[in-house]
Amino acid sequence: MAEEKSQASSSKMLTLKASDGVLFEVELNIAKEMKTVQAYIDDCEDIETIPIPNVLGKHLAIVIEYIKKTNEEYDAEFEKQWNMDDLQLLLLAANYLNISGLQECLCKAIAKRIENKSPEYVRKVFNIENDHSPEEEAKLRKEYKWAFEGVDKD
Amino acid sequence: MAGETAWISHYDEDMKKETVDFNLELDEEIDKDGSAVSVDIILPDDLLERILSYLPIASIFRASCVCKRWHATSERFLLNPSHLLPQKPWYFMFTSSDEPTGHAYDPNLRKWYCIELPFVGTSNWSISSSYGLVCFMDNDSSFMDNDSRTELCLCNPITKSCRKLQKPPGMSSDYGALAISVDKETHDYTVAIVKSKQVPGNFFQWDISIHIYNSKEEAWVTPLTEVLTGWRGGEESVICNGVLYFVVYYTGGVPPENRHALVAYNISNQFSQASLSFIHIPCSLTCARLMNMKEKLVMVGGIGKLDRPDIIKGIGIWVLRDKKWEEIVRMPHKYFQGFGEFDDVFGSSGVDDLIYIQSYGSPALLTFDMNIKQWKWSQKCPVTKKFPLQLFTGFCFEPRLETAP
Repeated sequence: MAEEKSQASSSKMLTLKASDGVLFEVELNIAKEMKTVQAYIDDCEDIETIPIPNVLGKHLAIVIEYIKKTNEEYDAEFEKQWNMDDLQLLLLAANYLNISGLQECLCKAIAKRIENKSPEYVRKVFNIENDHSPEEEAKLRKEYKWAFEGVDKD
Repeated sequence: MAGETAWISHYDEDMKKETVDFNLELDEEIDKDGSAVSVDIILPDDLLERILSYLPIASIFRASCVCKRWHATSERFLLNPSHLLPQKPWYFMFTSSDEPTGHAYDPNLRKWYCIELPFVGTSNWSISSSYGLVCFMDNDSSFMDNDSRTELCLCNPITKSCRKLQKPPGMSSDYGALAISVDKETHDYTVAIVKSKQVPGNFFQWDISIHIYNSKEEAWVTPLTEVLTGWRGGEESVICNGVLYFVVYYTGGVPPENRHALVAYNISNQFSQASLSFIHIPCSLTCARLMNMKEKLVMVGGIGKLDRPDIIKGIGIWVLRDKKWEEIVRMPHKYFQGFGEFDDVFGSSGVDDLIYIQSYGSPALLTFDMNIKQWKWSQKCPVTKKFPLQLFTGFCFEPRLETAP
């Protein structure tokens, strides 16, 4: 669906196939930003279609867009559009595809979203079970009481 | 040879679950009803740790409460903060003149916290801070000949650990300036006190003595005593790059140049008969505040009117380079006016790249970021002025867990 016009014959095009079957035609130098893809190309030189089994088309499109556009301004605006679930899935995609710039941008963005949230919110968002005993948790909250005041509502 | 199997990772199983959920419209406010999260996304621990490493310190305290693993990671980060982003320093503002209670401002989250300092004391403290430790000296005992009431104590405002230090030997003084410097590698610290006492019967002469305490030796030495003519020390000093700087004030009537001067004393050279060197102040000031900003000496000064040098008309910031002052910036008039009434003396301190400035008459707090040259008001302090003569003072400090007194 996100097919792009072929460039002049000198720049090689590659096809990436997302987990839901969506195909993306990208220039070789764009694809190489994904170190995982680079490794695949290094191993199988003549390959033209590379499967990306862990990433949905929706997220692969965003990742490719990011690589093409990346600059400081874009970074700042980029993460504002996505909800917490998308940010996490994009982070998983960037981690799997091994794109360090995008990983950093997303880690920072997620940190910013949770920086003034309660522990309950954080547990919900990351699906973490609270394995502290009630006494342990009470002790932690009491020790640095001030840190638990004034948090954003969930 | 990377075969097909290398690409079918352990995520495959989860993806099958997620694909179905993604056909739903993901609500922006996904947590509103709190009944269920529509997608079960599990980030691996190394990614969660990276996210944690981008949090400000106060958030990491909260993060330690999430689960045992996060508690272990948070502790590790708090005790080895080199793995965290550099944090902007906080500012503690006393909100009562009698008690050590107050509010600490966290510019990373733009929040005020109600924090109690771990000792009981009264007003009129000299305060100096370095790398998470804050040193307090009680100035009130100076009028008594009996030195036994001079209090000197060292604390970490976050961990609340606190320790009384033995006082320097010698005479009581009319003025005392305090400075502390913590070694970032070893966590050893040096405390310096500059005492000034008027020579009895002589209006112009002052006995100056410098006392240095080293945490390794746990002892005071007095490497220098000198008599100054026409100048006295005050309560403003800082240690920067192994050099003790303190402000001196002209007492001889009409000053030859400016009312203030800076004196430098090289602490590391105390065994080689180092003496005091005088450094001129760049212009006529009503008040001078010194601070160590990444081992550079920075001065925030109240600029006096030309015809009335004791009346403040603005504030400037200078840095000392090769014994010469370089002007960094002047406070734009709108910020100066924003304080309302501005006395000729004011409070200012800073760490790393952030300078705090406050007028003693109100809890308004202004910051200047030296890196991006930006002025910014803090969030409004949750304390209001209760009576007309109430004074607000404070100090800048780094929130750290890894240093102890």
